Amino acid sequence: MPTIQNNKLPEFGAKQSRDYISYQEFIRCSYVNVYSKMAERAYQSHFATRNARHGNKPESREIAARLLDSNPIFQLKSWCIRNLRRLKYSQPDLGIYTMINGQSDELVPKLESLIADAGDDLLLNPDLEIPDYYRWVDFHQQPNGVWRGDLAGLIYDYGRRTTNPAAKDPNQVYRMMWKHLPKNRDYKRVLDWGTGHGGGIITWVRENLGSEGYGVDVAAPCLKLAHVRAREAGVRVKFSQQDIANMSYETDHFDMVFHMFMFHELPQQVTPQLLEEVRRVLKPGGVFIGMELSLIPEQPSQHVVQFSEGWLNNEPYMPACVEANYADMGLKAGFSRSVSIPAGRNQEKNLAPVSKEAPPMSLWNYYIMEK
Amino acid sequence: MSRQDSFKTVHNGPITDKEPELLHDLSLDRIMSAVVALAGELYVVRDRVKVLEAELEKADSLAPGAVENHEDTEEEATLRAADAQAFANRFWTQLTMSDRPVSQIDPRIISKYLDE
Repeated sequence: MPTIQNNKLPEFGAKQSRDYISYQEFIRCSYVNVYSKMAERAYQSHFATRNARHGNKPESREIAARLLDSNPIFQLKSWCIRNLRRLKYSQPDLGIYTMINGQSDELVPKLESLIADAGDDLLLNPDLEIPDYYRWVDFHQQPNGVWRGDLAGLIYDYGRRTTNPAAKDPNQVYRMMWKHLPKNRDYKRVLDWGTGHGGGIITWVRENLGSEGYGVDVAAPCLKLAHVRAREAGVRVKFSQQDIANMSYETDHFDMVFHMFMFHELPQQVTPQLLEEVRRVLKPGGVFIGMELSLIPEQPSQHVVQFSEGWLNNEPYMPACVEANYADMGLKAGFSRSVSIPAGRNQEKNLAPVSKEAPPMSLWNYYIMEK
Repeated sequence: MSRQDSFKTVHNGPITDKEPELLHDLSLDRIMSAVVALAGELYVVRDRVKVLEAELEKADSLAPGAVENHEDTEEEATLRAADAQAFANRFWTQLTMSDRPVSQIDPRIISKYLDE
């Protein structure tokens, strides 16, 4: 089948007023400040207080938490983590959620018309039981989550454009990750695990001509949007709505499965079974690669910040995720090789580095597992 | 706020019932600084609008006093009133909104997935 066409279509989306664009740009720039200058000030004042009170004694999480809790800049940063998201989505008239849902009379029929002839490229399962760990959480504070409401996928897609506020291209993180794929392999059939808006697999197919792209997700609104985005990009991808605990793909089917920050949206209780299922659908020698947040070793203050901000941002599985050993979990799931590679300090190059003493704001690991 | 022990801002569990209060020690002096900075930015915009009016008048693109003497048509008046009301609502809703989170987490996850 042809996987790419050159007739790019205009982007499906809402009419955006000048006020909406200006408001969202202010929110995006505020995020850049929060994750750079404000974070730097919070850490500087935290370490100054810690050194004054505790000298050079190693910091425990308990001490770090007590000091951060009374740190005005950390409090302000916490307020921003919680409330900039709320304002970004839910501000009357200008929030993404309110703006898009205000145009639902036009957008829903348009979306349905765009997927009407999708055929096998978009397989939805209205009877699918959404897993409770997913159903119970409005991840990233998106009101009603990313699976309820016809336009939840479009809201998610608009929202992600400021999730990594310094990145001009929100798909750049995928390219960074794929650089770590084992070389000299033919990744002919590729699955985007938890594809969401489809940005990852669409980028892959556009840049790897001849590769067959698949995307699986539990959220129908996201898959509908992903299908539309693939068509707009002139790319053919097969999207399907499934529970990743029990996928319909044949055993030994894919050369590569990838994900982007999926582990922290999954409780530890279900993750081992999901890894076994990924291993099942990979061909022998196939690769499972993903990027995920982690803790900086021996930096208790970063741990406290990472945990607390996970709770504030409605990511309840984050604290356990960043402490988990996924490389070990991969081996237990039967992968023959399973490693984690730190992606490096201050990966967001456009953000100012924090002070010398402070840890980076977060650590990203690449997890690479081979069947 | 669930599972929040003695901490004021640092969180130890999901937010399931009401919005947390996160600011406790930010000084009034700093808040005042931010308000004055905002007033300064507002004056910059106000001044640019005045300069823009003057330049447009000089270029004969705008009649002298056109803005000051402008009279809305009925349609314009309706739109302007709606815009003013929406602006006011966006501002005041920040002070009057419910403390129930607009994004939800079902508290059942605590016993099923978060308790160790």
